Amino acid sequence: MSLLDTEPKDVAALPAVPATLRTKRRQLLSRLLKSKAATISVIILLIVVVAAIAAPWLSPHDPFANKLIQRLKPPMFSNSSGIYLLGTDSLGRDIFSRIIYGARVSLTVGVSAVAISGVIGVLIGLLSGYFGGKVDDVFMRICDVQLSFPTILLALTIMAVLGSGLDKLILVLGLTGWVPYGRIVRSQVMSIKNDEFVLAARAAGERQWRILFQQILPNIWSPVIVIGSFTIASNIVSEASLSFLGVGVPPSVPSWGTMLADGREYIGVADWLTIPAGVAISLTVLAINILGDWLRDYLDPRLKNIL
Amino acid sequence: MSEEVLVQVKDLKMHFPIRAGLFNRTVGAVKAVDGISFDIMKGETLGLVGESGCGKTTAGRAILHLYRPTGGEVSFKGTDLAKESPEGLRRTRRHMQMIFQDPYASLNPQMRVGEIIGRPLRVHGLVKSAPEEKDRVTELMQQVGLNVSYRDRFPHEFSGGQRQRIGIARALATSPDFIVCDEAISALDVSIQAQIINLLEQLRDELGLTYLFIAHDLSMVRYISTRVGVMYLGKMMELASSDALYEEPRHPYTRALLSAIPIPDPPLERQRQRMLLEGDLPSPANPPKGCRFSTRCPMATDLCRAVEPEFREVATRHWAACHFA
Repeated sequence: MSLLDTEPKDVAALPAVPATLRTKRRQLLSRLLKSKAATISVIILLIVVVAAIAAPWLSPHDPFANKLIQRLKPPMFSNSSGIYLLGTDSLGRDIFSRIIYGARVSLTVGVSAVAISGVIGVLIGLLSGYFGGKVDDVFMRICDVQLSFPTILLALTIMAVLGSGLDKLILVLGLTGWVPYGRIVRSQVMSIKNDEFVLAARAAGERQWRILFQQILPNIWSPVIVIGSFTIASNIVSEASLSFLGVGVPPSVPSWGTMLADGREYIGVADWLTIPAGVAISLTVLAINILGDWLRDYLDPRLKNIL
Repeated sequence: MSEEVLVQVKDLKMHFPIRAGLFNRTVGAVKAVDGISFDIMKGETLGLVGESGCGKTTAGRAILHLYRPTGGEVSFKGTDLAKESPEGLRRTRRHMQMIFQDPYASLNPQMRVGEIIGRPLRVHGLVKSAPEEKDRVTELMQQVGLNVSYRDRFPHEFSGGQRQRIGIARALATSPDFIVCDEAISALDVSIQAQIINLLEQLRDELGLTYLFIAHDLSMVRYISTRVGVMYLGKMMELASSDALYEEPRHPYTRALLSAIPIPDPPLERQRQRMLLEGDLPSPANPPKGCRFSTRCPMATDLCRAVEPEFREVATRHWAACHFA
């Protein structure tokens, strides 16, 4: 029997369960299954991840093959003679296959750029908020400088120096996106660094870095998770605009963002060019947000028995 | 009580700068603690009382060097804490601990009880292995009267009194000599207060601890302390043995405080003469000239308003800062 199956007041009478890794994993799963929204989100994300990994085997057509004679064919269900599930784009490429392949670029860009900016932002926020004074001044001025530079300008500069490509795109998004993390983490740290439990850790003789990473950091995850889940979404869209400028992936490589951008010209006559990409982005983003929300509650020990 | 001095506080000052303007210039300072001196003997409990905002808590924190004091000197077992390197100070913390006022804020909500109590052991390398740490935590939990099976619970699953016991176990973990109890009972119910006080007394006798007991509840302080100091606006007003202070207070401020203690007997309570203080506590950023208490003192004269009285020994081992004590 796990702690979760009982009412909170019964839990008080039970001996505490040793928190081994295995029971922890089982708890995670059973608590995940309790939330329908989170379960569905996990399923959606699993589908997207599997699509990205197994794209060559899953896609019915070559996503790169131009067949001008087949251009702008409507989807199968509105055109009984069609062989393309979601139709074709302006160069006659299969949209369904491109959506499957697009998951690769979009997920890679979304997740790795968030990882880079998250790590930079959280580190800067922690140091800035905890040490204050000169350290804070320096970091916050860097923040201001960063904000005053348009992402596009920085992207073009990096492209001019390093050339274009997926890795440079991730670098640009990662390096420009850390400011919100930095600011939020800083303010969170400032609000809890004078709490008595932090003082208690200092009084106990803990080292600064332990206080920062083991006492303070676990208490500020929730806003970081929320920003992270939103930024994945905006990164997927930014990738499209940067690719449009030539910084990102070449136009032939499918990504949800570029598909959305390419289809814009035809939206009046062929809305199947944009709708699948839009739906893919929104579903993924929604799933990430719901999962982020659930994760935030999961990490809060006060909600352990309620959720 | 021995005559061995454990903690010596000399003219301790803790000023917090007030910053204002575009360039954050320092425009003044809140003089939270403005020159206090006293010794704490090994094995004694020194009570520290005063109104809210008089600098008691700041004094406690500055003594442990949780804040870098603005001036003065604190020596612990003969070594000046200000001269210690950060690493040396960190190591010395093993021997001096603190119990906090708010049992809700003083425990990390993300940590299990076993970890909260066990961390100081790990920090100072007092245990070599996980089983050893577990044994010591079990011992500590039993010592403060906590059910050992609660080890894997989170702080929010406990009541205020139990949380305070967790805080006490954490403070005891490294076997310190000196513990600052910063309003350790103020946030608790009266019945729980008595339990915690008894626990602290019992631990003091068993482990030979020395306490600096900061509180505003005068009757509790009298009960637990061997000597009591009275603070007002960052300064020590009177310091004497518990009995002498409560029976023969020399300073008018002490008298006013003592007259505010209710007597738990209605007929006597009705006859109780109260000495009401007028006005508010002056700002510690701009304390009055002369005696700090002169603005509210019923006995104040021109002398008091002009010259600050010296903190002097008015009777054997009885100090007071008043021209008329």
